[in-house]
Amino acid sequence: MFQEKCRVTSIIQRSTALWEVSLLSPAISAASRPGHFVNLLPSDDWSPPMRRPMSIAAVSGDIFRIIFKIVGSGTEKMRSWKPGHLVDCIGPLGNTWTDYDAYFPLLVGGGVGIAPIQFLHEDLTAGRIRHSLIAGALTSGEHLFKHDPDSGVWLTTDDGSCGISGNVIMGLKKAIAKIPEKSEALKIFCCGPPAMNRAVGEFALQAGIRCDISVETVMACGTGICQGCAIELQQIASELPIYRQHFALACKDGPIFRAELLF
Amino acid sequence: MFHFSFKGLTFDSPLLAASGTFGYGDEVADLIDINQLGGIMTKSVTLHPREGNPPPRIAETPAGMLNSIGLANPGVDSFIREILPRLSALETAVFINIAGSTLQEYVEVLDKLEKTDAFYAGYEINISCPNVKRGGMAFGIDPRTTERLTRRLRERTDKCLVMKLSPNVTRIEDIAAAAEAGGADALSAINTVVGMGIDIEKRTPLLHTVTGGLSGAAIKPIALAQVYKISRSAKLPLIGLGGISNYKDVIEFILAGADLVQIGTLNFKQPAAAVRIREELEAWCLKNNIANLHDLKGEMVSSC
Ligand SMILES: Cc1cc2nc3c(=O)[nH]c(=O)nc-3n(C[C@H](O)[C@H](O)[C@H](O)COP(=O)(O)OP(=O)(O)OC[C@H]3O[C@@H](n4cnc5c(N)ncnc54)[C@H](O)[C@@H]3O)c2cc1C
Ligand SMILES: Cc1cc2nc3c(=O)[nH]c(=O)nc-3n(C[C@H](O)[C@H](O)[C@H](O)COP(=O)(O)O)c2cc1C
Ligand code: FES
Repeated sequence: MFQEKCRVTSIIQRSTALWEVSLLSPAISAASRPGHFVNLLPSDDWSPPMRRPMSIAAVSGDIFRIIFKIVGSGTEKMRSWKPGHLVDCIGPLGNTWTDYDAYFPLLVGGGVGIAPIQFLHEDLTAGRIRHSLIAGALTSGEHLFKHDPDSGVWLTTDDGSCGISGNVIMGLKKAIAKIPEKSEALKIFCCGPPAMNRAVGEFALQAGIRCDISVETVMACGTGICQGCAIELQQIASELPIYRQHFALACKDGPIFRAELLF
Repeated sequence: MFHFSFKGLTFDSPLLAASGTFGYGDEVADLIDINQLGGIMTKSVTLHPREGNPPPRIAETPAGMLNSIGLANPGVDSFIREILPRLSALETAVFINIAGSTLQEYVEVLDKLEKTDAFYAGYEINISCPNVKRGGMAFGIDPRTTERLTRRLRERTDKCLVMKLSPNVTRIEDIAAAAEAGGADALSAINTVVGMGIDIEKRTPLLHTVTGGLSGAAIKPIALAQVYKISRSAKLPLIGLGGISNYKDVIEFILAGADLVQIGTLNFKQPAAAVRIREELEAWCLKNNIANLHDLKGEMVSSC
């Protein structure tokens, strides 16, 4: 874990809803794996007591990227960042995606949840690991990828303006139908809004497909100190310390959890 | 820059880490040299492991935060096995914060700790947690129970005994006097202030427990007034906390009567806040020709 003032090297609008920022930090970049996040300060004169957690969406050399959506005062401040601005970041934090080489990976990202999914997608692509990517959004302008089923990229839109009309479950079913592997040989890696996470988790449990989901909760410290980011698990997670087996910490025990623990 | 001793303990920084905001010291060891702190108050330890309250447990509020953690912790046995050996190796003063639902529970936790040969400065007794159904704050709102609990613990330890007081009382000076009568070595104040918030779209409370504890800059004026009130009546060393955000706040607390202070919620945003504030205090003392910041204790000039 490092705390660094990371220089903004670029900030661009990637879609109608999403901004992407490149941040210079040799230490954080080198230590980051797909699934990790950073906890950052939107500005130096930031008076609210909490940092803002953001997934790492890509790493190249000494630079890591985040992708964000504007939802409130913190992300509003982030939009005004300019190249050269220094951002106080703590990271990398949390656990990472695992076992993507033991199964056929089905990557599912919805909305800004595409951020940690994109990092895994790039990593798998670089490692020449065959996989499918299913990305969901409300409308075509929000997408970062091109619909290209032949190379395993499936887009869905709620309004049908591109890719498959409907939600990611429909994309997931089509992607699965196109590959020879059986359910036992598949694993879903998912990050999206709560309703999407639930739908994907329940689909996976029913279909007998392994599934890991990255969740979002309000966080204060991001480092396992405040115990504020608890999520209630549906099964006892015996791998965790006894007092966290029912209420696990999203920042330390997560943010990635097995679907059967969540739903 | 700073020097203060009591009960055989010497402090060369007035800045301690507040309970529940610094874990057990190792979580952010990569980000701060812990031995630069004046001391650490551990997260509250209870007799049995506690899973805490259901989420949501925290919410941001203007200049502060609400929490209702519910004393989630691994329990004293696992604390002794897995955490205490590490804490015991630190140079900085470690105070083990104890919470309980009954008087007997506080006593049993303390007894178990006393039986170890670990090295630590003493205890901070949490009689002020607003987020548990039984015990916690119930001990800290009644002078008689405060005195009885303090006395029972005093009989069983020679280590430094700090009683942590709640602001959620009518007369905090009465609770302070009770802790003093029971034999405490020092007092710390304040714990969080009862508060709540509502999501108007969902019409649901921000916290699962509806009410919780408010901390952060928002409560500093409340904390300062409580510390001032205690210092006017109690003779014991006093550790002030509540909403400290910068070096000026620290000086205010000392002027109001605190001997030492604790940094709480600020640690979440800046894990190394205590180191930075210490440097700022040094610069301020140098500029103002102050050899020992502790000399300013209670030195507020009465009329404005
Ligand atoms: C592990 C993790 C990774 C995340 N990754 C990304 C990402 O890559 N890109 C992105 O755009 N967003 C991400 N989020 C969500 C992001 O942290 C929130 O959108 C952001 O904190 C909102 O801040 P605000 O000040 O704009 O909103 P406000 O609504 O003003 O924030 C008020 C409080 O609520 C919290 N909050 C609000 N929305 C969320 C949320 N969805 N999840 C968690 N806390 C929230 C804030 O942190 C703050 O404490 C992630 C969250 C987590 C937990
Ligand atoms: C998330 C959180 C957890 C806390 N846990 C404890 C605890 O376990 N025991 C305790 O005595 N105080 C606990 N406190 C109270 C703090 O130690 C401190 O008294 C209070 O937050 C006021 O100081 P501050 O405004 O500087 O944070 C907690 C506070 C917060 C915000
Ligand atoms: S955010 Fe503090 S413990 Fe997870």
